[in-house]
Amino acid sequence: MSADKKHLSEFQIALRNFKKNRLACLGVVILGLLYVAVIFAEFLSPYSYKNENRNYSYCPPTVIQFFDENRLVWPYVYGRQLEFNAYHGRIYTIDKTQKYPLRFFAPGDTYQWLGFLPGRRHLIGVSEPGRFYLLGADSRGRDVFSRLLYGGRISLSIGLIGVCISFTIGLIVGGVAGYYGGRVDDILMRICEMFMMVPGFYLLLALRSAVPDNFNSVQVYFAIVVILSFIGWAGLARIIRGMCLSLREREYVLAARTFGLSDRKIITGHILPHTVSYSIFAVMLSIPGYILGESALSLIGLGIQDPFASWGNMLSDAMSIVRIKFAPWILLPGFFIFVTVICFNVIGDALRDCLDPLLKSEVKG
Amino acid sequence: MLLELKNIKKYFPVKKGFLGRGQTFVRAVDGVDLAIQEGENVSLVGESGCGKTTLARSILRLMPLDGGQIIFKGEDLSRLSGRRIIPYRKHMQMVFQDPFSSLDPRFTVRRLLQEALTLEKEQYKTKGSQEERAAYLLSAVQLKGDMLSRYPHEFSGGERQRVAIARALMLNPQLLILDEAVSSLDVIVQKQIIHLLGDLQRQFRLTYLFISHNLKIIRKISHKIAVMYQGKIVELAPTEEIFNNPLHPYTRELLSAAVEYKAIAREEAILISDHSRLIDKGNGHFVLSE
Repeated sequence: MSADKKHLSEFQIALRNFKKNRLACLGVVILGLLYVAVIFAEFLSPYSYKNENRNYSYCPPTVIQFFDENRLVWPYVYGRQLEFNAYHGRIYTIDKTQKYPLRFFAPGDTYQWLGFLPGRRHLIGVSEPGRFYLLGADSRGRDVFSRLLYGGRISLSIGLIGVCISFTIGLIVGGVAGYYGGRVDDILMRICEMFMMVPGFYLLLALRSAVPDNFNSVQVYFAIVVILSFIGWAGLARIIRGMCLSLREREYVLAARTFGLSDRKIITGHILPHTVSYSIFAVMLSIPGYILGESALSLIGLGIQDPFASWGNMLSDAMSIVRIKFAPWILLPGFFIFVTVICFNVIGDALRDCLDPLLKSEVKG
Repeated sequence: MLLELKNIKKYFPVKKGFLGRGQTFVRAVDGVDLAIQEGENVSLVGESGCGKTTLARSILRLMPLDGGQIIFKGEDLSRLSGRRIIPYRKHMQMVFQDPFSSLDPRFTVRRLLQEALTLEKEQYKTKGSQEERAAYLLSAVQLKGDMLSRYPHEFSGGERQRVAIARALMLNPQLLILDEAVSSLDVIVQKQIIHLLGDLQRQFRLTYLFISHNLKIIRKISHKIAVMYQGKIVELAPTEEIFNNPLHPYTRELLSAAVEYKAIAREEAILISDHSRLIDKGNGHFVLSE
């Protein structure tokens, strides 16, 4: 196959151009790190997402100490002492008498990695009764850093799975409507319009209320994915249909019919692949919508339920200005949503730039 | 008789009235009769928009017919619908006008050619035999076998058209329709392709249906010429007969424009009434008249 390598398809050429966009490459690296981090959430996080200690409610981030009496030592953290002020406000003071050295591969909460691989080692941790809050604690004294990793697993995967489902529907519906045209097209497009007519957020709420509220967390997760993709497919289907209407008149499609290919093979082999350059950046640009949709649902308490973490329901803690003032780190999930959305948008834009010549040649022929 | 067309009609709707009332149509192909003998190359000539390409695509059933019969070797294909037409497709293949859009740019030549074998999967079961067939046809159109793993955008127009011809021959068809197959190429390549088509005809016992407006090329390659105008065949005769003795006013206009580069001033518009029929003038020469 080495001889084949010389011959680049137009798509490979476009991908080579993508690598020249440094901002987009940075986006890919950041997203890559985020995804790797959430995949290994159990191992990378010092605590489980539900490990709580009410004595440490809104405990500020722990500072790692490297020096002891001006000597470089094995990193350690101090313990904390909780006191109440005259207004019953919590005040955490550092207790310098208690020192807890950091431990790598420390045994801690037991977990099952991705649901099947059991373990209890965490990359970093301190021994009890010390607590290690890298990014502070939330209202119930749970580690925000750990919950960010677990929550990211839900928020980041919902975008991918949702996009897969809605793009499958969108491609099939758009492809069939565009290829056959006529009455099939009319019916499918009217259905699409019915979905597009209703404002997205109301549809989201309406569909969520149609889901039974006694679902367990996994069921809720999939219900949200299905709801989000249910809203997202129509716009894509319409655009794909428009492209297919012009693609089906292409001579290579006619040629494919002359040598007796079935409609299914023509649609999947000769029509839909030509919408890929559009679909790829449309996918990238629509993933943030799913992440934001999930966050919005979880924020108002209709999505992922406590104690399970998602970036959206972690943010619901930050809905009061007093709490933000007292513990600004509870806004961190918002920062992660922001970074993720920006990354997807930057990558999507870069993909559009490098796929655009391809797209133009597809549409004009 | 290889192919017989009887009263082929294809209308396109132009204006859609309310609930389908008051709809008007363009008569792209309006009652065409044509017979093609085995080994007898027939050419369709006429100006752009006269319905040549529509007729060709209707023959291959790439678009639904509005009337008429397509009889291929005694079998009426016009009544076959959807899936039942597919087995007959291998007998008639087409080479399209634009070699830049008739080859899917995402496919390598290998995939393009192997895909064309879909109907002959029984005969060419293994990848190896399919590849062998592809390489054999590439050499038949005088291309090198190492082109198999390359993409269409790496080829020149002439090479692409050769690939398109090789692909059309994959199924071993009896009738090959060439829809302006050489008109987008430069004259030298045109000449080579015409030469190649002659060789292929002898080698694979093909019959050609040419569609073109280039009368010089047509004169070289066809036995019979049908002149089309406004969806109808206005004149049908053996090649030399058309060139030496054009009878219909439109044919005369076409010949003077193409051969002498001289436009005849139209004294009056060429009118074609619905009742006109092809009339035999002897020597296999038919002319449309009232």
